[in-house]
Amino acid sequence: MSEPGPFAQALGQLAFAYTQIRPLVPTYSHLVVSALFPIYAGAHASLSRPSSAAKPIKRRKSIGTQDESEHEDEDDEDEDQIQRMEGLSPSDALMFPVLAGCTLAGLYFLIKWLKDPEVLNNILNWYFAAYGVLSVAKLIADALAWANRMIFPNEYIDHGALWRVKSRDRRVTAVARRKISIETRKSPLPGSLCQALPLPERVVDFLWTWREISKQKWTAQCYIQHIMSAKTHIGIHGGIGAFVALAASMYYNLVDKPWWLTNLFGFGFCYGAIQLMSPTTFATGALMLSALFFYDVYFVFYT
Amino acid sequence: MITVAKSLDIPIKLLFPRPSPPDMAPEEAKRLHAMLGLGDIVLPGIMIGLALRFDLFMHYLSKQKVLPPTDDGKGNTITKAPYHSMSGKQGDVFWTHSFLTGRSLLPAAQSPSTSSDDAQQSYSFAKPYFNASIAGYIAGLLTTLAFMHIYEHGQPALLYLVPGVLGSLFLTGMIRGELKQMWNFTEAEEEEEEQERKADFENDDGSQKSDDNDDMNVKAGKPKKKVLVSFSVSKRDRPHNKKTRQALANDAGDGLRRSPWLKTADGEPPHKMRRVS
Repeated sequence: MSEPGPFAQALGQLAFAYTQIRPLVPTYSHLVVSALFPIYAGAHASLSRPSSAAKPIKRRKSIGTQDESEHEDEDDEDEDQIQRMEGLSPSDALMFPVLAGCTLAGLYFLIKWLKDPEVLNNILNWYFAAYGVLSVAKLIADALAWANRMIFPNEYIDHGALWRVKSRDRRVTAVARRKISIETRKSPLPGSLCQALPLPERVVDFLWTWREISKQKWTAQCYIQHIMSAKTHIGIHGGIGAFVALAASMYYNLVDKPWWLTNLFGFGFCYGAIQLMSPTTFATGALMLSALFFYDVYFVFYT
Repeated sequence: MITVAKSLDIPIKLLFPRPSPPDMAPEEAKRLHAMLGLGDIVLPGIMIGLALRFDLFMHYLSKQKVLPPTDDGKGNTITKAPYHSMSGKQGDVFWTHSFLTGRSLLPAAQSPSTSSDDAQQSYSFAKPYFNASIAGYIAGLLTTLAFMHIYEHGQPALLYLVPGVLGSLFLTGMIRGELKQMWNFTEAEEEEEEQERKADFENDDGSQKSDDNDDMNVKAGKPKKKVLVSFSVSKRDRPHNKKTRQALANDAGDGLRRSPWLKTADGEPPHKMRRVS
């Protein structure tokens, strides 16, 4: 038999490299997905009215202008999600790597000097715990709200008809068909697959109640003169988020630090940071990233 | 940097378990975990967020209408399209549009009216810069992983991510010929908008409780009381929780509920609409 040609040999090398990498593919794909998730979620959550769109007309009198009860909730969500984003200026962008470098160098020397970084760990832990709880609570609340919107939509299309959910009557009716149908459905879940599920009466009632509860919100307002003013609307999702975040934080600091909990806090921080910080312009952002590019190379390879 | 990241246990990094040899103790295996610093996610992330907001900006920019100058010498007037937020409507959009093509599945019996077309189409927008920057980010990450695998040494992820993200954004801008808009785009709020926003925040406490528009003038004249510190929690009182709900239902005319997608030119019930052929 003749020797395999160069193409076959190249394929052979490729196959060999593939078998070597294969055990690590789950780790690497996990890494890529975990990096993309907070970026995707945070970027979409940071969307708000751009300067090229018209300013909303102030609606103080809400009786005549609201469309109908089921759609009012979305408009209300709009009003209070206008968060202030911290914009970075070019001077901030340039100071970033300098500050980061000094912090890192300071921490490095502190760790070397203390020999046992236990104390440092503790202090930093409690500091991060406070921010961690807030950002993880927001992440979980937003995730629950999204799931709620997907599972309990206000309208859906099935069998060529538009079905509208009426939460007051706890019925789903078909509208916009050629002949107006008197057909109604009992379950608030969308799609014919979910309709076919034989859910007991109590479960269906619970689903309707949950749907209503999710729309109720409490207003929490905090105002300290010259320091801060904050106002948020919290519903049941926020409550669940806060509870889970507190529990996670206590477990993390007092019991053990499993990798998935570290990742949860990491997601929370990233999700919050991407919504709060903005490079203001492409030029500032590019400046900041380039400065950090050189700083990163220097710090990893020369120290 | 790696020393600091490994010695401190705070969540400044993401950890990913690696397949480890079976005879290794769990603590040892932990140190084998693959790491990705949070800075490598947040810093390109804010750039990618900016790209997405820029896409939204360009979308609404394309919907602006510029009217020719009027006779009294006002110059060009620009009409901006109203903003429709996607924030509450993802579920509805998901269940009324085709999963594969994104085509609206709403019944074809809708007459196209000029202004409510905007309401229908604004729920999605083209995201060229966002997609490009995500692709650049993924390319940078894969390069990092490749080098990390080959050299078996921690790599500075930003070294590969920055050219990936910035390069893809710049390339997309160059190909689409929108570099000038990219350069001029800014998210900085103007002075007057900031004043308005601050005034809105302080006035907003009253708007939840009073429905009466006539009180506006009185409110503006009242001196604002100086509050030093205050915390408050209250139930949100929205009109449709009160008896006005019944009034709303009666006001809807022929009792037919109206949805943004079903708006017709003169409010006729859907089954009377002209069919679009």
